[in-house]
Amino acid sequence: MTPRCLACAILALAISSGSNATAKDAIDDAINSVLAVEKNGQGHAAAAKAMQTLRSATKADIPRLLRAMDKANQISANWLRGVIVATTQRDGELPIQEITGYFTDDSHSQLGRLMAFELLDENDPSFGETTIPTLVDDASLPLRRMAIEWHINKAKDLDDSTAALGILGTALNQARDIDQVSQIGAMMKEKGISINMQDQLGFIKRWHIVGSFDNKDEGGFDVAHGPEKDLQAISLLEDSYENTDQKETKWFAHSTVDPMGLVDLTKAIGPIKGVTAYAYATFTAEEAREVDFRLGCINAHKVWVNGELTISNEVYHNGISPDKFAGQANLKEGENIIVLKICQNEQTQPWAQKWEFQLRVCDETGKAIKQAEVEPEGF
Amino acid sequence: MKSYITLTICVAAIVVCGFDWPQFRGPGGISSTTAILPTTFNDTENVAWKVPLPGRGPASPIVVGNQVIVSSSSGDKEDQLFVTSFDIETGKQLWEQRLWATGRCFCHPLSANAAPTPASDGKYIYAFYSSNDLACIDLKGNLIWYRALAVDHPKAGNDVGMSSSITVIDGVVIAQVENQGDSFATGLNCETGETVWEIERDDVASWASPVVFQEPGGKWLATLQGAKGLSIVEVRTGNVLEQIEGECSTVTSAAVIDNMVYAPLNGTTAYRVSSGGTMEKAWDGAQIRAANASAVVHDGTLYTLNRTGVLAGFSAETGKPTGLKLRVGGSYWGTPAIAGQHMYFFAQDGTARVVKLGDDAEVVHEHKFEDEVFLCSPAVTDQGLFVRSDKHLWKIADGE
Repeated sequence: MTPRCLACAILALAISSGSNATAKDAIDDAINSVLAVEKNGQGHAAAAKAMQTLRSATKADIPRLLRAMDKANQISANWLRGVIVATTQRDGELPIQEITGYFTDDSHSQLGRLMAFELLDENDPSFGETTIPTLVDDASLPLRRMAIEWHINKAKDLDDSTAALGILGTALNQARDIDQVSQIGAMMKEKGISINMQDQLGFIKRWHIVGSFDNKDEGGFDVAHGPEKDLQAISLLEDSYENTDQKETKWFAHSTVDPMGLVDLTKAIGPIKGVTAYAYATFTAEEAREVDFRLGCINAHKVWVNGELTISNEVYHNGISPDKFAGQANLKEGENIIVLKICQNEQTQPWAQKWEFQLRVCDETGKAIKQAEVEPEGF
Repeated sequence: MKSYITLTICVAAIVVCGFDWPQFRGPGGISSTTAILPTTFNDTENVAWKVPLPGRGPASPIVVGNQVIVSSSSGDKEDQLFVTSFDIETGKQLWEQRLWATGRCFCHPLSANAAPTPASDGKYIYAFYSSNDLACIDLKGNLIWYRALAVDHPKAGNDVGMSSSITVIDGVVIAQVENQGDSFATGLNCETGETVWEIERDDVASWASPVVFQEPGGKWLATLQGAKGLSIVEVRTGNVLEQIEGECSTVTSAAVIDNMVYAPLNGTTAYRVSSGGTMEKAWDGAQIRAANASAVVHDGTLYTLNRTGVLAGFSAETGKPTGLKLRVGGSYWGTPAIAGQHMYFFAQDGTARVVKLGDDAEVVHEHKFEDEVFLCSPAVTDQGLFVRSDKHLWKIADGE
């Protein structure tokens, strides 16, 4: 190579490197624009423009797109996922090693890790086959769910009941989804081991109830009936009120034996329409901490924890399932007071007669929070 | 601005001429085309192709150019969202986009998060879900923008499942979200996803879909149905031009053709659209009521299907019965579609039926597909009939 050719080659390399660096910078800038999207369409115009730049992303850019997931909110995570999905449908080789490294480090975004898992599994299905069984306590709940399913199927295949129970026991402790916990519980019961599903899932089973108060024309939802006067008062249960029949009504104890903690107010109080009931429970926490309150309720409702409104939805007869509504609350160490308001309307259709609720206390993954004292006073 | 005007004209051409099937129930929501399609088919006969789908969904397929596009959802929580494009000739997958749901995914076990049908303006695909996630994707599968309307409206949701399909025209994509929690309708910028307008709606659940139409002066308008009546809004601004009180269906949707709006209001009410968007009542018929399937308008006749599977015909000009009353049988969630002189029905139990229309209307073909559930409304173009089940997308076309 002549000195002139060598100089040309060096110049070309420099231009090429500069150009690559510029392209990388442009992609980083575009990623930052996407990460700036917020609710109500904020930042969307700039992000939509940045998406034009991200159309030039290649498979080599996927690791940094995954790393960007670590900084994403739930809106920008979908923008980034869209870029990654489109990029994987282009030519080129996936940087498997880098993606694997991202996946195995569970300090990364759980959505990002889930995305990385999908990429690796689609690239080589044997990755999923060997990895899924190891994810039984994974921080990513969708990945953990796959592992629990693998354990359930493994137990089904075993003739050895003791071995199957061992696998199911592991799965039960790590499962977070109610349907999987229920399935495991049913399988263990068939093998002679009964699981208390109320305790396993953290449903509150002992309540005090009072009713009924007015909710004619659905007008009672925002009316503070007697029990709302002082939601933190320990003397609450000693109070009496005037009900819709102008008669004195008092709190009464009610326990549910339903495995999913369902409290049927049409049985506890009666199949009355256009009324409101209140339910009261205490939860004794071992330590001060934030928890999830997860509610299934087919009627309009409010939930207060230590006087703080935690869940509120004015929705009637719109289906019921556990965990349908959720709210976070800070428990204090010791006794915490939970008050529910459950409003029944006057719909006449056969499917609009239910008046019921179920409430559980768990961590953000759905794991039950155990009470320090299981038996509160008054029972 | 020039390109914008060009785009608008192109969009209008697509909607008016109906070469494609760009939205729920096709152009104008009339569910009809002049295409001639096979009148007999089964699991193999006259099946051009059948492809598996990544998830379920009552959402109907749409057709844009050489692409058939379907939205689906899957997962134990119905939180995995898909938009998949297939080549119209071969059924080969062209691209797929995926999203995570951010809103409420609860729905009736028969339904799915992918209940609303996507819409297209010929440039982009707009896919909407019961969880109020809305994605804009180009025809190569690139995500253009994404809106999490559930993050803006956390209480918006109907746990039976929402199904109001979106529509798009004049640079604005319109979504209607009506439920007990937080109801609204919104118009979003097609290029950026930014909110152009948003209006509050009554907190009563509705599954009906908006339909767009052009008033004689050239302005694009949209219907918004609610339990208490019919609203007519300007597409570019969201200004409510007309509020017509009455008992309006929250399930079936309006149809528009030849400056006439056929609304499921007080039974059925037909309006002639005048310049400026004034709605003049042409006729009404309290007895003209569709059940789950919306009315179909074709060749001067408005067709309705009642709960017992009886097809009835009414003059689109006067509302008077044509004399058609035919027991088709079956239970339908989707709206049947007309191609030529035949009407195609796909029932929940997997049974397809073909009715020959006219004075001697009759069911001329019936076939129960093996292990399929049909909830969608079929798309019909001159390329074929496209219908999706809970598992597959089918193309029914001649001579295959």
